[in-house]
Amino acid sequence: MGIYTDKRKSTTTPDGYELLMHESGHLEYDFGWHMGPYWSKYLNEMRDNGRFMGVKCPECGMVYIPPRKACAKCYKEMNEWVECGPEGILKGFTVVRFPYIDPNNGHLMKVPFTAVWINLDGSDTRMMHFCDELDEMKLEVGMRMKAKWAKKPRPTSIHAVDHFEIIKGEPIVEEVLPERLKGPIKMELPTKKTAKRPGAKAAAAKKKAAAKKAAAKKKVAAKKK
Amino acid sequence: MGKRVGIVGVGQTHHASHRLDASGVEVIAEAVTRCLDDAQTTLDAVDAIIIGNMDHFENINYVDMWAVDGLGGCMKPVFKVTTGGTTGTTVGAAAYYSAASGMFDTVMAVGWEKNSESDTQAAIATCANPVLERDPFAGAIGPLATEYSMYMKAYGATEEDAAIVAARDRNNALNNPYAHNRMHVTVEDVMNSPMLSYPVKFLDMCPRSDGACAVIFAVEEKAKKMCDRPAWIHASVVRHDYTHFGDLEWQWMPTLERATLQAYKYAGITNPVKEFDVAELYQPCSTTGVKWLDSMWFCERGQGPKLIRSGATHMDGIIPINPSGGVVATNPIGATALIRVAEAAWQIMGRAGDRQIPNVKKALATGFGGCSWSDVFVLGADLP
Repeated sequence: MGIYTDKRKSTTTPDGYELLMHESGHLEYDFGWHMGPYWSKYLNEMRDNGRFMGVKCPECGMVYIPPRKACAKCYKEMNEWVECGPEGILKGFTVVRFPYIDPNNGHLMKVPFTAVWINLDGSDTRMMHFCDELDEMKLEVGMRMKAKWAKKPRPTSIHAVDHFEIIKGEPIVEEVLPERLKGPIKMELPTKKTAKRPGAKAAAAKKKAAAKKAAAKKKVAAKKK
Repeated sequence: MGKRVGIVGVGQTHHASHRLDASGVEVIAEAVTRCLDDAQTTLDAVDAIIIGNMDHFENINYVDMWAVDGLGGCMKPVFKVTTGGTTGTTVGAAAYYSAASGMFDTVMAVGWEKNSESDTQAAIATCANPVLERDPFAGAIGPLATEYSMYMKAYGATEEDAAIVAARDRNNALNNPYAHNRMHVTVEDVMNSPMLSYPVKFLDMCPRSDGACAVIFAVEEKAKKMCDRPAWIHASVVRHDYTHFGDLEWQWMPTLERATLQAYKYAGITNPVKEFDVAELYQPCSTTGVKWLDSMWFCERGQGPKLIRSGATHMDGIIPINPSGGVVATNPIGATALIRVAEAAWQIMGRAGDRQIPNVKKALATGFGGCSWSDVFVLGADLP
């Protein structure tokens, strides 16, 4: 069936026809996502009152932003609302420089933009949002940040917050990382000597010598011809 | 634990950015045919098929229907499984579980993707909550870049540590005729490549590829007849995490930490760096090749850069990672994780060609996807 030949570079079918790509044209799909009671309250509060409302798990005490009905860890219903932010800690960031298609509207995203993950004061999760600082050298994990609300009337979405901005003059908040899971696994860093596979050097030399020999043989054969 | 199961055959396509020479169904047929030939068997011997891809990437919803003829699924039980990036390992896990359960003797897992048929970043971005997280999500690169910014801060890792991994994998791909990107690159080349999304650069990141992979799993009695050196499954573990990206612990990979710990327990592994002879890991970006090592229990937290710089993970090291070139060289997403399993199996079967590591007895393969989900396979040359 010719299944083993590498045909990656073909531009025609085996019998000479042009290989085709069929363009779909611009497709538009409209969706209406039901936000339910938790996300609805969250977005209403952001739009009308300019505040972030999270929910607390009655079992583990974790405060979730965005709020939701069940704690994923404990699978307990959450009903205790907690106001969080509007300040928080920058936990991670990236300055996006590659343009890609915005799935919201099919147009190219405007780049650069800075995506930030903010741990709002009083919450235990990180909120994904934007930051107005586009220079990665001026951003540092652990910085204190503050929500800058959009002008009224605010949109009913996360864009009720226009962006987050650095609070100037505040010290970096160092994070204490929890200890890892306990397990019966041995972990030692290999030294320079133990990092190499025994015999790998000899095998590589042998392979190289064999290749050299084969090349020499080929040369001799070519000369004879 | 169910029946003992081994991999008896593996097939994959020649992967490329655009496989204009073959439709999606035809790349599937290419992988399936090569897999059947590798197992020296025919479709008659296949009792069931599990297929998967990123189901909306090609705008084809019923892949299991659309692909039947190329898949060889006519009048056979066919199931579709799709879990994002982990799809490949999840179809593998589902095939393994189906065989181990005793319901089917031989099960074929198939993963495929035609990434060139749509905009991959936009398609991936639809996995984030559409209202609350999608806008700042920035495809697959955004979170991977962000998590490395956190890891650099927490443990002092550098952009160059990631560049070493990128150069290692890209140069390994030179030995793999199926790989999509095959080019010699240096650490400097990676460092000088254009910034995509700080701190991730162009040569740090995986490409988007067209391709497919198929793997046949058979129960012990069959596997021994079909193959003189099957790759036995010692463990296959799947772990999922939260829904929202902001919920996760990003300084390490909780799902990978849990999944590998469970897999090592099943397989009796206590010193992974010493006991594994090779690892084929789903590391979509070279930064993850640094950051996730501690989550696989290869080293203490934050020691990834030291392990990379020791040379232990290079081709001549004690634990070579990604002899195939890994995901930064080849990435047909729905097939990518299955290719990890396939390459690990080939290493054990001794069929890995120029990228063969000598005497592989134990191999590790992983899958990554969803909201930082992890799948883990431990394969062995000896019966589990």
